[in-house]
Amino acid sequence: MQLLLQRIFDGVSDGAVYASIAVALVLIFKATTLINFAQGEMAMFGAFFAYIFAVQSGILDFLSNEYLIIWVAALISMVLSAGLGVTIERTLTRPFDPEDHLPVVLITLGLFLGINAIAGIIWNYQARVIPSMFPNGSDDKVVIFGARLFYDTIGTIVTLGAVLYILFIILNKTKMGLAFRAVSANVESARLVGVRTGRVLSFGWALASAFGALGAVIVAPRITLQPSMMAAIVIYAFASAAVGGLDSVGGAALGGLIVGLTKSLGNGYLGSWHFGLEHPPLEFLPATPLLIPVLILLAVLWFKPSGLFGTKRIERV
Amino acid sequence: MSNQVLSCENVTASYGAIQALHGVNLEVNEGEIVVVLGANGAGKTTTLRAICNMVATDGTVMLNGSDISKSDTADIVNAGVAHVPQGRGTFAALTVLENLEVGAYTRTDDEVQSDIEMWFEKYPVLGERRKQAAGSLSGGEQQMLAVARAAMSRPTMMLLDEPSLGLAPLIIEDLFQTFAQLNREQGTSMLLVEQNANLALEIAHRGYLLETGEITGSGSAEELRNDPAVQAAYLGA
Amino acid sequence: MAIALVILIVVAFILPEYQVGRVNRMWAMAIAIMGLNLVLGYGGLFALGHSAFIGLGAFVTAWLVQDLRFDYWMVIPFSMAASFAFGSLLALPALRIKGLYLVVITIAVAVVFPSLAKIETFGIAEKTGGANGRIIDEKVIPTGFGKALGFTETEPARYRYFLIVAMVLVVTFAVRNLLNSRAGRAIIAIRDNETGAAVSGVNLVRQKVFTFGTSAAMCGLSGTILALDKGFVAEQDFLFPLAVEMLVGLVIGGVATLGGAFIGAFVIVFVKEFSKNVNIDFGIFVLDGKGPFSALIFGVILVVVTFFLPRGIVGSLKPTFMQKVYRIDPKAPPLPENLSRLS
Repeated sequence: MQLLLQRIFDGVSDGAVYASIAVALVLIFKATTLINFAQGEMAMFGAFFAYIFAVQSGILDFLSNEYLIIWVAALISMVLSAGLGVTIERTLTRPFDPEDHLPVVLITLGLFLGINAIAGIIWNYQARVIPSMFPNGSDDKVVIFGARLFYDTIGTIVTLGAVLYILFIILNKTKMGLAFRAVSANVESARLVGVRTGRVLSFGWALASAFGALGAVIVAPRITLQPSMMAAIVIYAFASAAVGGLDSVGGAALGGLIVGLTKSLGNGYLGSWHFGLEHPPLEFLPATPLLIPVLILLAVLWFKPSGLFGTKRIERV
Repeated sequence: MSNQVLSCENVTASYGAIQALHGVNLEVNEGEIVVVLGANGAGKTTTLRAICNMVATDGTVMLNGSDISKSDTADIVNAGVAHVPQGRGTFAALTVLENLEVGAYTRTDDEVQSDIEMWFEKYPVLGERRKQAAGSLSGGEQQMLAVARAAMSRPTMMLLDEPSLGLAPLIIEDLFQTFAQLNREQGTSMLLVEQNANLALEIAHRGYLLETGEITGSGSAEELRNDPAVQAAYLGA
Repeated sequence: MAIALVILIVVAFILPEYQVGRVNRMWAMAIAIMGLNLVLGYGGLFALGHSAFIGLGAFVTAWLVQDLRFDYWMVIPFSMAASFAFGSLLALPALRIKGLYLVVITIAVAVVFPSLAKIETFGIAEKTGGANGRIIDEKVIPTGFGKALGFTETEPARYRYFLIVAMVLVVTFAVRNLLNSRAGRAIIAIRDNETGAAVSGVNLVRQKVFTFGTSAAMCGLSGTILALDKGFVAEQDFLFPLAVEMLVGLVIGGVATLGGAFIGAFVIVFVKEFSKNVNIDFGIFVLDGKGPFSALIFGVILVVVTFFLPRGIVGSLKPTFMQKVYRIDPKAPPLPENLSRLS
């Protein structure tokens, strides 16, 4: 029971981070029907933005409270990331016909390489320390039935959940949100009711980039801040978005949790189960972390490509 | 002399290397319903798209005296044009209510809600399904929704692309009555593109004939109705 | 064409031994890029994970040569067959998946592949060398026939060079013939108009699987060449960035062109070499030869080429209607389907 709970907590904690990148992917997909392969790297860069403000430059040191510093840094990073996203959208992706996927795939892959390289050049590949947004000492936890539920986990879920909620309000209760969903539903008709699609696209990229950056800042202290930090997470995020349905924001969030739990429980249980043999045959599983999301991706795309909540029309040739 | 709401002067349009319109000239005056008749492939849809600058075009398009030839589609819509595209262009994933709300996107007044209620009264079916995804409606219902959506922006000029396509005759009649009513009560000018001409000519004031990208004839609705060539080609006589 | 051949031969003799090794790598990558071109450029299928197939070819080679003591010639058909099988298997679910989903899943496979090579279970890590890689001590050196042509044992790289070039020529001819054959036309037809192809009698599933498998097989061959040339295999050589580099090479050379693969391979191998020698100090940071710089160049190449040279270098030199051009004008809807594109 304790082990199960522990694995559930860990799974949910990881899952929330996957959800943040997955939501970013979905937001851009909804607005443009394209997948931004550079999403993870942009988020990573966002975490470095926060690093600059919280640690490297010392600008915020006057705030004295360490948590205040990192939270303010995170907010600044979200704004800067949003700006980066808008810039990329306007200069690099807007000129291309969204029906033809190849150019934008190439561009986002180019960004994937380029952004990672720039981060590597500026900060090189050492792991850096960035303060956590939540108390993350080994004592900062709640013990439930013997399982450790860290404040870090609770903080992650509450924060990302709150921002997700704000996102929902923006999308469903504001005029811009309505315009966004209209563009997602039928971009030509959106133009015909007077929506300025360019602004909507920028808006989508801005939201996506900000949300992704927040996820990265939250997860950075756990996996150490370095240019390669998001590479694996992005695969989990793809799987999460696929599970939820590429055009469902809520689906992506739920997908993140599902993937996180599957990974945690899968690695834990399948990896140690003996299946009646002498040696657990799947014990390589925890050491091959990406296998699970890849299998999930394959399964989803084979059995239900539109995911749990996506609309069927996604199957475009 | 009534005011000219819309005019097209020598408008050409191309899809890549293929030229679809070879110099279209037409005009719509204030309060008029003008119909454009043409067979498949004549360029009717392209004409409407050219007016909204949704396709590579050349030539001059004037709206209420301003040159909109090079304007952005969204700007054209903001200037008072509403376009109901072929196939309705419903926001399938949005609810019926949201479709109407987004139709009023360009408006900043506070009568949006009352307009919506008015349309729900006129078409109770829409009112019943207001929270349903618009994609789940039948073809006829979607067409009603599309027209209502277009009317929500309180346009001065409405462009209608083959609204009768795929609909049952009774629904088509109802639809055209709505057009006539909008025209009478709100004074909305309309450019109606149709293949099936019977009902269109009944509510229209004037009409044009479009063949392979060029206007080959025009006249009052009465004249066109009585023209034997038109009868043969478009009225199924 | 003849000039190119002459250059090829001359190069083999004038370059010092260690440089020839790099050129060998270029040839191997050219074959791999041709494979990617088959599936992406001619086939129109968005697959991006071919680094996994190269790796598979390399690991199969290591296993057959080291553990089963195969002759190096014998390995080729087996590694190509293994890659073909793997590629075909991957193609089956891939066919259900359209457009961007296919990219995602192939990327995911390429990303997970290196860690699969490290799995201890089933003796996999043993065969692949696990995290440390393994040495291939079966050297490719001239024997009777080779020696008769003038190659000596002290300069094996040169000998390998000729073998490789011969293979490259064979492969290039094979690909050209394939593209001009019925199967080739079917592949291109599927890219341009799937429905049209289907109603013309093309078995979509079979053709796509075949295309995928063939391109994987070519990458497998490439992996074999790399393994035997370098004498060493390790999972770190077959990471996902390799697949992106292949894409860079393909795009800059020219999608759906035959010569593009060579230009592309040249670019990616020698840009990397060049960037290793760069060392500029900008004060706040240093631009040096380790990883990031070449990756940055590749990233920039991808973006610049997409904007300004979408048909690649070779493609831009060819007449327009032979290539698939990106539609940059957002207002133009797709061409009507009755306009068939000849290739």
